[in-house]
Amino acid sequence: MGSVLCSIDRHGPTLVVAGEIDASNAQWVGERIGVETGVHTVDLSGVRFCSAAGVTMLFDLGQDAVGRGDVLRLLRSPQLDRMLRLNSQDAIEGFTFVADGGPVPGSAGGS
Amino acid sequence: MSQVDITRDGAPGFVHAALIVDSDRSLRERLLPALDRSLSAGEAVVMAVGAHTERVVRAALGGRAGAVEWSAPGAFYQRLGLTFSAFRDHLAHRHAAGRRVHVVAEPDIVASADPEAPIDRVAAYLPYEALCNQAYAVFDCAVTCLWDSRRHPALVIEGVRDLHPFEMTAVGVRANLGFTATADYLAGRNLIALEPPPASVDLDLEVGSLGELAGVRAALRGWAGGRGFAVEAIDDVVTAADGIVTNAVEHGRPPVRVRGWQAADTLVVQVDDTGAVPLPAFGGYRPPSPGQRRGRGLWIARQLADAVTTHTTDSHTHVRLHFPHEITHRGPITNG
Repeated sequence: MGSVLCSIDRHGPTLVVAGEIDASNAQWVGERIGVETGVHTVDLSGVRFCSAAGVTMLFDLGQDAVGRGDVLRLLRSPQLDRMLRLNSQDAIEGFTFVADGGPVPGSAGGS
Repeated sequence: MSQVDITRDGAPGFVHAALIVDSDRSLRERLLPALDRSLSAGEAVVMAVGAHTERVVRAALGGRAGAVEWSAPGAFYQRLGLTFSAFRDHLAHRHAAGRRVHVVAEPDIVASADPEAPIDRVAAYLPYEALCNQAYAVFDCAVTCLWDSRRHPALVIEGVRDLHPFEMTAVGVRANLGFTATADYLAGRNLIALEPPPASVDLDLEVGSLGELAGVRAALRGWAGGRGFAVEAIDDVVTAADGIVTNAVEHGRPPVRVRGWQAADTLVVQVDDTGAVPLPAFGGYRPPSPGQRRGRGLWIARQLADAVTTHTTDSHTHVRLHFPHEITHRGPITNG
């Protein structure tokens, strides 16, 4: 079911996720990302819909990264960015928020 | 009633007071002494009031008007949930800056509403008045809510009075003995039946599992787009409704019924499930804590929709979302 709504492709150290993440596939997406090793960046700029379940999935991935002593770069789509702001989340532990061109000035990633 | 001094000396901390006026004279008599006390105590005074009130108070203050910060109510009053969040963020910012603030707010929630709208916006705003008592208390501030009985029916004014632990009178700020506790008020709101949906609706979907969410979103997108909503506003309708449908499937009992219709300029989405599980009194009114795993759907819906009404019966839970065209297209979203 999860792959019907969204795709996950690997390009070197970057995982590119595109499509929709909701309560039906958030766990699948999280597990697919979680099993990859050597990932530095999770690119969600192509996610046109992310529900609250997707936000929770990102928290879990961030916690896993913290457990590994890791910090992942996270690229957000406008809709995901708005979801995070509505949830008062200007940071997710284990992630550094970046724009396409690099770190976003003033972002508090990893805190 | 016992009198309360809202200045820093001897202050009880957070003071949420109703200021109910019926004339320019009563406005001056009740508010001016309080403003003088706040200014004398070194508090920042922020007036987020309508144009008429501003004119009256400026004239009465004279040269002291320059010591007051005048904020257009439009800076705060947008979708109801976002209005509440904007005030909370403002108070948090002021508190962090270390100076006690006295905000005088005149809710501007009727002026821009479509008179034919299918919801009483003032009634939908009152839960947020109640919520102030808890959500703003940590900011050690004074919030005075100005309601003009010339603009609102007596029942509304009495409701407003009951939701404030204090009232600003001509002889000072006094404890309100008729105050209704926030939890009691919010729990009671869920017992109020919703107006029946129209017999004929634009959308009528049945959802049995989470796997059907994508289809619901697609239907909502097409419907809202066909009703003239712009892309970002469509996203708001879809995101809010998705969270409620998800809650209904996960916490209620399928089948979940999703209906959509237009009333005046407002798109209305209603989600019904047969779980009949009463919603928590504070459901969706409190911002999620960082890392919170559940309970975000109703919060998101209350931020993105202008108004959310709920009702639980012995057999069903109903959640209704309202998206007035003009208000939903007013932006940008400033929360967070």
